[in-house]
Amino acid sequence: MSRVFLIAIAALALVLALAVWRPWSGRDAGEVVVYTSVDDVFARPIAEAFQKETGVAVRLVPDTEEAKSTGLLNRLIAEKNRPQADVFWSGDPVRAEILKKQGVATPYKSPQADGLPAAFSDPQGYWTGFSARARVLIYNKDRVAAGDAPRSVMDLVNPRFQGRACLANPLFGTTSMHAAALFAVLGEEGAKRFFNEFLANGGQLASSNGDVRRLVAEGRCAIGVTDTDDANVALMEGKPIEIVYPDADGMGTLVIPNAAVLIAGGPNPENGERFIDYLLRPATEEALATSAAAQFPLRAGVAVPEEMITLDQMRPMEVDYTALAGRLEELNRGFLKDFADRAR
Amino acid sequence: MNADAPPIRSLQSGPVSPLVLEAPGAWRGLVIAGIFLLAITPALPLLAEALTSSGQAVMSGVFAAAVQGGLVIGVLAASVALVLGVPTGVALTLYDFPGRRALMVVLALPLLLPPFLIALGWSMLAGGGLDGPAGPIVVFASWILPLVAFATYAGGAGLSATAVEAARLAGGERGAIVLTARHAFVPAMAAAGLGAALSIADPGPGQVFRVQTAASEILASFAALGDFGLAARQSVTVAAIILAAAGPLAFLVAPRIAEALMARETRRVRRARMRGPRAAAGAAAAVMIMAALLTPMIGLVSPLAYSLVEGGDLRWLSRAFSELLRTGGDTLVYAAGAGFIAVLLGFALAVAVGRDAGRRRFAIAACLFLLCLPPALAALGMIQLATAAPAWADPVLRSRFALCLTLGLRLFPVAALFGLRAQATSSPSWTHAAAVHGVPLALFLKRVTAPHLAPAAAAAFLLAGLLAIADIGTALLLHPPGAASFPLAIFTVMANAPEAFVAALALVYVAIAAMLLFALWRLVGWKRA
Repeated sequence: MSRVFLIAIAALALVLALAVWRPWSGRDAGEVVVYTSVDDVFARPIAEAFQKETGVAVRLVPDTEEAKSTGLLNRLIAEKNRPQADVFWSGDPVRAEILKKQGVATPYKSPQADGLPAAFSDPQGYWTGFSARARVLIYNKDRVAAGDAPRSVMDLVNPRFQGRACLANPLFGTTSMHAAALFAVLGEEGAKRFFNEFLANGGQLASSNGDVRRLVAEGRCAIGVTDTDDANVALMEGKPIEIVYPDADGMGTLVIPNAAVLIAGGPNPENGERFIDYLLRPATEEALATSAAAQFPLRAGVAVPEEMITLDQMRPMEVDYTALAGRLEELNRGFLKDFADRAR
Repeated sequence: MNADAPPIRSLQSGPVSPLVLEAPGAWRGLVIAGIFLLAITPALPLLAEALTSSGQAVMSGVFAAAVQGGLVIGVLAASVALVLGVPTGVALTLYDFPGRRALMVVLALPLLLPPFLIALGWSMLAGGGLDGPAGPIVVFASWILPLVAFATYAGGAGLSATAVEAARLAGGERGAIVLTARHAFVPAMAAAGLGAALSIADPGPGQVFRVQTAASEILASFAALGDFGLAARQSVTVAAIILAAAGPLAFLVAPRIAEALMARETRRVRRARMRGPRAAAGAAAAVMIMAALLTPMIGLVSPLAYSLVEGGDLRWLSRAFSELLRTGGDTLVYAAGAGFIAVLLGFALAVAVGRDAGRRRFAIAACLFLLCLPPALAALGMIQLATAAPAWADPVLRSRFALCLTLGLRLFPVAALFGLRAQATSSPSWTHAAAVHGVPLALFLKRVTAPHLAPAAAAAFLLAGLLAIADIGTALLLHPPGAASFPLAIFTVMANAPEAFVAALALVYVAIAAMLLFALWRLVGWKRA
């Protein structure tokens, strides 16, 4: 008994010593702490490539768009007065804009940002947009004939898809940004009518964009709206879906650029800037385009896979990304919360 | 007392007599208050904000309906788990059948998995068949079932061999089963209540099956509205409602959580090897465990199976092992650290509570209250504390230890229930005998109390450790950069990773955890099980 007891005590002492030992060292010239809301499978290869090329170790803290946690955004805001992160690599510009408004971000205009369209970045340099996803329609080929394929987001409320359309909860992730964009483009009344008709048409509310992909791939929904990376993963898995870039002859497709944010007062600001420079390079845009993330470059002239739809081949929805963040906060507390409640 | 324990030496009277463990004293109240204060400390910043801020009303119609939905799901899931778990636990206690030990390892598997992962498994298998309240009820029932079965098993193991033999003689197998079930029913109910409380704080399955629950409403307040004050007020409201609902349970459980064993009879129950009952018990337990627990696993890993069958593609398994190598060490540290802190506090609470039924009622009610608070409340509070603290406090507040501490403080009520039961099964005559012989308190604690509590402490350590690594929300918010846990890694890749990769991760995780459990079990010794 006493020997087992001693072994147990020694093991626990080791565990506590390991627990107190910090695996990163704060202000250290040799590392950078990156928080990211981009999915780990897509962000980690880029971080590892940066580490290999520069010798600067990357401590990556990934998040997920699945709405099952309070998320990294809250962590960044809570850590504002003494941040641990140097960079926030956001999967969308709205959360980057929220950090700017909360005083968590600091301006940084990277020399590598040349060639990136100004419309997808903060004019004051608090965040810089690069490689993007798009909000696309997907439909199940077994449940929708090619001639009946949806062409517009408005088809979600079309009677021919009654009870067969789905949308992720608009309180979370990129769907929330899409909802705010629809309010900006369609106007207050038009957007409310769209969401109300979605419910009246028997639309289903999914828990996330990944859930939308699954519901459509399994045929439980005929059509849905999701992000290009979700849709691409389903295609790579051989699911019977087809992707449509919606509203090519109308309001356009919502483009969701990544956003690189330098954190104010981060422990390794120089390495943070180096990491942002690395993210904004044409080579990183190319890497993200050829990965499973299938993110199209914002720059012209970056090599992409043949089948990829690029920015100049689509009609991007014209929205002011900086304005969307403020609109979203207001909508989340009002109409969208009410919509989500009614949808259950 | 254990027959092979070393004899207690007769020594000169020490400064403190073991009788303090039986006598009333102000120290008990101080220790109890100190432990609960420590446990609530990380959540205090947000609770203070909740009490001082004026904002949106908490009890809107939607939130009231969500609370009601969450309560109904929690109670029904706990009831189903109770109905299935008690017979499973009784079968494991009374009968020795082939594969019994392996089944007990399998039984622990759902506790390793975050409930949302179990929900995904069920959802993949059932399609839309479980949408609505049925889905979360099935998920939480299969998650609570092991808690109930193990509590029944532990409760049944506390019976004396003579009592079981007498029941068998008087009433046959039925008599033994009824006696064991009755004896273990109160701990089983406590376990079911514990599971219900934990399920009410978990938003995952409700979201997967599109059901609005109190936890999902609180999550929306945190994550979508960014209104921490509202989220904290909602959390306190839910905890208070559950406390009111669980009050009768605490009242019932407290005095009966354990009856002190008589010092004259501590011989353990021998498991029966009679062919008929043993075969029936084995088959029933196996069917129960396989159907309720392995079904979601089949749903989860089926994409990997398809991938292997179609192309013999092993790359997903290889990547899953790489992920395990990256995160395995930290995962073990989190599990062990949280388990250790939970056991330390839980058993200290149990010793301080002693045999007083009033203190026990208070302790159980307070434990249930703490368990009902959403984990994010303490995690965000801990971030705020760490941010406000000077840099020299980082080794405690911004390290792996901070995550261990927060998880340990959240889960110490689980260990406390084990401790309360184990402590109550000690005989007061041991203390009196030691005092008569002048044994000092330190020696008594070392030679009598610690060995007596050790098996329960080991079980509590394991359970708290398992629950700790399944707590994704706290890990996401508090893990130091570059030190993610394996379940967190699964969580962060599952949204966009290929299904076969997620399946490979889940399979590797469960397989490794099962092997570790098995190895640990062997180390501790099968006889104790």
